[in-house]
Amino acid sequence: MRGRVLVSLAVRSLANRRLTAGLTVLSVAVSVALLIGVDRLRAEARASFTSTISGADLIVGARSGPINLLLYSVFRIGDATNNISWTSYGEIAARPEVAWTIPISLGDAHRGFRVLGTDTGYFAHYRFGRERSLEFAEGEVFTRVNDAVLGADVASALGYAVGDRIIVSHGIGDVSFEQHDELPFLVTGILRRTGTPVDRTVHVTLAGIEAIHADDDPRRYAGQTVDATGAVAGALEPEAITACIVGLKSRLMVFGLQRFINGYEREPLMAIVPGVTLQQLWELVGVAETALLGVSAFVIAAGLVGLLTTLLTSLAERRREMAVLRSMGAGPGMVFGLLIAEAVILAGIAAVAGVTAIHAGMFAARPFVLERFGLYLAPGLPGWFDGTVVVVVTFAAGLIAALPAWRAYRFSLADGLSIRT
Amino acid sequence: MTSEQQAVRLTNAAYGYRAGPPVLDIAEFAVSRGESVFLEGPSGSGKSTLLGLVGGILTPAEGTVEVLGESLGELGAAARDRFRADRIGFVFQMFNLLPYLSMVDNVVLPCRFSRARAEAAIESAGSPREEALRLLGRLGFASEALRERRVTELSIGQQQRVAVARALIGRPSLVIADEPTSALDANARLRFVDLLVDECTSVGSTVIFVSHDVALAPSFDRNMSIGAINRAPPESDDAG
Repeated sequence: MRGRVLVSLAVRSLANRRLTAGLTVLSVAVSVALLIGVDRLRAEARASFTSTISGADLIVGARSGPINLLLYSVFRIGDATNNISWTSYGEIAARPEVAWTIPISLGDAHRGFRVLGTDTGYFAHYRFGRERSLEFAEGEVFTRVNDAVLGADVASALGYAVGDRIIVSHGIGDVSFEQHDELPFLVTGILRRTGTPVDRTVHVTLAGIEAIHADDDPRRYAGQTVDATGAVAGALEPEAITACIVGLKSRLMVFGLQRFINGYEREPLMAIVPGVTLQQLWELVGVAETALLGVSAFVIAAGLVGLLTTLLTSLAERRREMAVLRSMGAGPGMVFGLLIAEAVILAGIAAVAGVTAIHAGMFAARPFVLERFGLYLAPGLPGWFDGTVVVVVTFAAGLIAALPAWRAYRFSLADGLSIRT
Repeated sequence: MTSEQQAVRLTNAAYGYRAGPPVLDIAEFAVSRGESVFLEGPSGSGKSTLLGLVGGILTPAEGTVEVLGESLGELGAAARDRFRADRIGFVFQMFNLLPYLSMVDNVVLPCRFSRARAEAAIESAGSPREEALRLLGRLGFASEALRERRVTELSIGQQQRVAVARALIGRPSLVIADEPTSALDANARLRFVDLLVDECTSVGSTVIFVSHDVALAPSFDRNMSIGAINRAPPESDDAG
């Protein structure tokens, strides 16, 4: 009976002070939302990175750092320091344990989107998420030197459709002094959205990349059909590519081939296992993530201190209220409990509001985040982490409220029935 | 007279704060059941201490305090809190009401702290809420609209009448009024006191009314001065 009275009094007392109570709830809710937001973004970023490439056994590039190779070849972050020669690539592709290879030639851009030279194997063998392959929303694979296949974001951001002609510039900046505008590319296909950097890539043939860098007039290559290696034999054969993705006939052969490539004698090459390198990346990024989570936790602590301040400052004007409650038989323990109940109710409401707001906010922001940052936020319901945060914040509020509750307890013992203003 | 017939009886009761000299030392003070007593008590006379002892907030350092047949010094703190909730109604000088509760909810509140008073209210009117409405009606709040008002919008006189209704709900055996008229104007005081005494006597409650305003004394069965019964020297400051 007392417990119910306590809670209903606490609720109505808080409702009476709704402005200060509301602001306190707001500050705690914002801090909870921040923590949950940081944690979810961290998880989503990891999931997004992990799902960008699957089914690839090795990634091969010029010898540099493994994380650097992974970042530029798969995530289009940063640039390659060196290339792989076309002959070395051919030798690797011809190894008996190799099932397929995807050549990657980077370094050019179209209106801020990176251009990737490759062959038709890209569309056949590239896998993302849970072994999903690339699908065409419109059109088909490139067959000629100056054909292009666009990622979903490129098409939607720039408003391109199959049949449009586009210009590719040298370098990856938005504005380039050296416009290779002599050879227009024809959009032959647009890929379905994948939620990976593929969406933000313009795919052309290896021969196309050669053509825009050709010394003579590249327009003479327009319309020529490329072969299975993405090149035009004899005329537009690349000297080098940036990296290649390798699929093996058996997973068991991964380390054997990796050793062969890492010890390759004709030029310094490096082969990485994507999952292993991703793990190294997480270890690197983990420090920053922990720091962010730590900062968020401190913001929650600051919010709770604000709650403590609100309760403490309210005490002076509530000494009368305590005396009236005492006269009706409320013991000092109940006065103590009333303040704890108020803190727990405030923090509980704030924590639930914070969790709800951040989940609703992230759900609403999905299209924006995807377009702006290429990060796909999977719609998800609050999970055990959110539940833990709510419980911990509420419990912590009840704990720190022991300070104002203790003061109120002392007041009510000292004041008794005398009403002080 | 046996203690069963007495509402309040203090025998050689003394109390002092923090091992200082006693601020209250009463050889004998008794109030019969159903009696209404006017206690004249200026500041510093030990008034708050006396009410603290009778209300079971304080326990005597020496002697005994019996209220409604219970020796309060022998009860634990929780038992005294329960005793107060069940048996005593209070009216204070001002700020009696909780600003966040409606008029009716303020009156019902003692029934939420005490099962005995809730049951008495149910017996009287069917439910604590009905009893609160009945009491408010008797105390001059006839209109429904007035009862829905926020208590902070009431005049001081109205607030004090709501406080009386709250003190009376569930028929407590003892009603203690501590300077309840000091914030009222002269005309309203007499009316308020008569109303309080009439309502208490009609339900058989004993009334102890503390005030420094001797003009109100004739409304009561008996009047006495705390200064006359308190053997401790009066304090110079206003802590009493």
